[in-house]
Amino acid sequence: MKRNRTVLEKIGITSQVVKRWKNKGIKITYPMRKKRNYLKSQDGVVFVESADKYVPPLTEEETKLYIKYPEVFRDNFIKNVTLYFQFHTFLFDKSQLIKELKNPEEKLSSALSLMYLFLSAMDHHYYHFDRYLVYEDYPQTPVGYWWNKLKIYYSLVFHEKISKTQSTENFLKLLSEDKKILSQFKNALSNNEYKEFLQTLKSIKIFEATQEKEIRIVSGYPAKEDLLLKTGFGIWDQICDLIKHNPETIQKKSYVKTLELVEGHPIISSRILLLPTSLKTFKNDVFVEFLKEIKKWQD
Amino acid sequence: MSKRIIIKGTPASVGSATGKVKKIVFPYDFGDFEKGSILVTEMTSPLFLPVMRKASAIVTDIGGLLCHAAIVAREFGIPCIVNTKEGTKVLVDGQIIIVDATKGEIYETK
Repeated sequence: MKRNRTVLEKIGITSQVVKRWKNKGIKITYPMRKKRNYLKSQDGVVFVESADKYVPPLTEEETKLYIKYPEVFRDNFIKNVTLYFQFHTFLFDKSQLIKELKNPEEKLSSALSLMYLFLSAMDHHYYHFDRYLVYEDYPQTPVGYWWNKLKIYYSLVFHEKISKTQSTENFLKLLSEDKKILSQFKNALSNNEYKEFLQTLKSIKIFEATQEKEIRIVSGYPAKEDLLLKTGFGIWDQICDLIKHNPETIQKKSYVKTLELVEGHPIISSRILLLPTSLKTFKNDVFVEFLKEIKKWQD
Repeated sequence: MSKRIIIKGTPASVGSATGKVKKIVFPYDFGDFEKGSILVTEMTSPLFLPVMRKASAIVTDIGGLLCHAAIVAREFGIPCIVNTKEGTKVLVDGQIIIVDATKGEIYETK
């Protein structure tokens, strides 16, 4: 007997397609879980202080590996962001097919599922890799370890301190690999120190280049249109329209609250709407179909 | 021309520029960003790349020397001040300002 197709199968996201993406390395977590054992700096600040509290940070092993070999961090980072970009391109294409589904429940289930896949995959990239590029103030992180070293060498040569709130023209020139500045390091440091200083600068440039490469990949550069924006906001707009025009898809007592949510900040509201507590306020068919789709992506 | 410091931040890419403030705050509207304007925002992301190319200087509320705005500004050779804390609140659209990103200071022109 032929089984009924699920809502995403109707727009071409079959079990084989899901398997292919999982094999490529796309990670989806449901429900978003709170991770408690974050790495902390000496001052007690959690490395992921502004990150999503539901996704895992780097493990201690990964941190050690990436400190020792920044180029491995770069390679893993670029591989992951490239995969994520391909995935959200795929999600964008599929989101264009939602309108072909037959009823509002199916449309809403599929839009919520695509939004969840978009956010969950992004989290795994953004908070597992991307956030670490700006943790220069935490010497326990890969970037912070090398940044701290660079500041020490700079202070040795220029006798000036660099902090989050204070930088100097010479330090900025050093980051731009200004030849005159580099020659001052060569003159002031011993051969071994100079060698280690160059290794330090090289590591920082690897992290900088990683971020620049990411910018190009994620923004679809040199294309003029930003696919990340188009995909995320595009799916969110569809969800909002469906909710506004189909109040029957949500339990009566929750409709007003849900409407307030869709009028709010898209980035925050989409997160809240996709938590199990909010999803359960949708009509049962909508939630059950959503869950069926997302469970397929679980490991 | 007299100068008054309006706000300070952390220099992130050296140089100076004079131009009209154009704030971009969420929800992002990149549509009417004129070439040569000074981009004032909380923080940048890859979404900002097209306007960063057109900006004569970049000013952000938050971020450090390795934040997205700082790296891109150094790459493009655009003056950039990060971590002004409240640039988006203090600066006004259309206001003509001088960004001295070597000192980390923003001046009003009169």
